[in-house]
Amino acid sequence: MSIQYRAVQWNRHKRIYDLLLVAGVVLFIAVFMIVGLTRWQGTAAAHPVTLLMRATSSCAITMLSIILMIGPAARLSPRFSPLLYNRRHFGVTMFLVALIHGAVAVFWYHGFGIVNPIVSVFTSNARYDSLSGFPFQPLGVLALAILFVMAATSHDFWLKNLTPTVWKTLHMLVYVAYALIVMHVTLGFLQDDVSWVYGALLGGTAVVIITLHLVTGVREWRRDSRDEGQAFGEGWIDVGSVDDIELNHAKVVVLRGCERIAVYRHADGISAISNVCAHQNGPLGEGRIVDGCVTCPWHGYQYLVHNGQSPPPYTEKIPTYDVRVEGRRILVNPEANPPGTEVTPASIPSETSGDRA
Amino acid sequence: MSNDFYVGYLPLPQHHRRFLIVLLPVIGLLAVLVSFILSSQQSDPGDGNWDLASTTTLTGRVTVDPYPILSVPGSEGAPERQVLLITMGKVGGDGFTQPVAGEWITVTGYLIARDGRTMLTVKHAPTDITVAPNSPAREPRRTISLGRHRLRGEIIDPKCYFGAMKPGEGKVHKACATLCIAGGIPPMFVTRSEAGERTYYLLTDSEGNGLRGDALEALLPFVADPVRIEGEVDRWGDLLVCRMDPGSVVRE
Ligand code: HEM
Ligand code: FES
Repeated sequence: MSIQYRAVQWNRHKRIYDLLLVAGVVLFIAVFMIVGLTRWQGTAAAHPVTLLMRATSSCAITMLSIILMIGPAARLSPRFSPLLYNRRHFGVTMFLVALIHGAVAVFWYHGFGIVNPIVSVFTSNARYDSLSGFPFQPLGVLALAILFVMAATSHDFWLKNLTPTVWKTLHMLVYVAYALIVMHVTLGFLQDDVSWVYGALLGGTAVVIITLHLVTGVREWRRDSRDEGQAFGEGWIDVGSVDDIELNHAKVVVLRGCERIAVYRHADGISAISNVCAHQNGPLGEGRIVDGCVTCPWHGYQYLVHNGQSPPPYTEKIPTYDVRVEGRRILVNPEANPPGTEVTPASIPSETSGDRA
Repeated sequence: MSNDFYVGYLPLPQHHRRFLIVLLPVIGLLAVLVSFILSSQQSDPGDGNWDLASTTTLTGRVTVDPYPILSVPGSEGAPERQVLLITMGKVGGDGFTQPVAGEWITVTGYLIARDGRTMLTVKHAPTDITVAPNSPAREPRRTISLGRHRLRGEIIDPKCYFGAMKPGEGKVHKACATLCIAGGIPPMFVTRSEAGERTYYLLTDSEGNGLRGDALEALLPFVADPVRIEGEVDRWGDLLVCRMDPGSVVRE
């Protein structure tokens, strides 16, 4: 949030989050190894290195699946937002676990030979023209490379320097990485004579992830088409009634079919700001006024409602909109003011009780 | 008001606390369950074994053609044991067996064994090899011809398959097996009967020479894939050998 960058801005929630995360990873890998080592024993035992390779890969894909579910889950119910709060640590941890898997695979299956191990990953199986024989390992390498770039740029330093738009686009590559990993498993492990359970779990998880994204997408699309502002005379757009908005809450409205704004009702009246958080484009209209500031539901960045500026010492700024109230209707000027522009809140006429909402 | 709104750096609202107290253990339990299922559903890694804890010493006649093999006389009328000689890593035994080709030797190494088939990993050549006294007279290799056969199965690198890597077969292991065979580990073929019984064949070219150079290159793309081969099968002691044209492998 500040202009100074620390490795991590620790707080109690992040500490608990990370503790549970690491405990989960250790537990997952331990259960996998213990079950694997006790099920086949003596000369029938699986090699512990192979087991470690599989334990870490299974852990990483499970983590990635959870990561991909958190986003839409938090949009469907704010109760999941504590999981979203520190999701980048989840992502970095997942990358590290996947890295162990990849490193063990390169060492184990490509080391000790007459070819450079890294070269061997790409050349030892050269059936690029076949589907069932396709070299699945380069797909894993590609996915790991994407996860590496994401983990390396996960810090707010990069977010700021790449601009949130570029950063966000870069981090959308997680879906490419996920697709590559699904192929990596489907064209690799699943091609062998393995239990049907693996295919079912992989497919089932993918279906849940896709469904969650579709459901949230449709929900937002519906809300946007319902809450589209209506033209009101020259240069103003009617975005609804003051009575639609609860105190210290906002309504998200679409202006001219594209921009989303957050129309807040607060102690001093009505203010309109961009819906897009300067941090990671979080939906400000789904936040609240906390301590007099609009507070982003994703990571808690704050903005003064009347000028879109983060309270000092922070320096973020978002665009504001001119707003007035006619009767009970809220009118917004769709031309955004430059980020951080002061706009006097429109006061709500007091003749009727405004607390129907 | 905002007491149901979660902000990471503020105290957790009651509403969220109650939810998380249920959600987090559920996620934890699910993770343990997934881990348990994934691990317990793994296929049988096989009963191959690479005993790296103890060494084995064998005495016999070493041949390098088609591949480095130690022929150990069978005790009490048992067939002659053919033990493939290799070294550490994904490389064959050509290098260290050349100087003692044809000799009667005593050699120490780590045994790899599965289904009665054995290989010896010689770690410290040439110190672990001595030309042994009391060499019996050299005899030509006794070959019993079993005729032409069509075999369905998988080309394996026997080192991994017999126990160096567990499991060491199939698609996940294809690149590794290719690397091993390219490095000089003799290619073998495994077939599986309906009852699950495995039979192994050492692969040579049609003349019975070891597969090297271009002949090996022709074979490599088929390693670890389900394939069909056709060739003349011979028996040397306890080993089956299939003489085949490496260009005639057909994918199933
Ligand atoms: C350097 C990159 C990678 C390499 C060389 C690689 C290699 C491999 C290999 C050789 C296998 C088969 C292992 C076996 O079962 O014997 C495998 C399986 C698998 N990989 Fe990767 N992989 C890489 C990256 C990844 C990444 C980034 C993920 C993401 C989580 C991943 C997830 C999996 C999964 C879930 C399996 C199936 C379970 C298993 O067999 O371990 N891999 N990979
Ligand atoms: S997106 Fe991170 S605080 Fe708004």
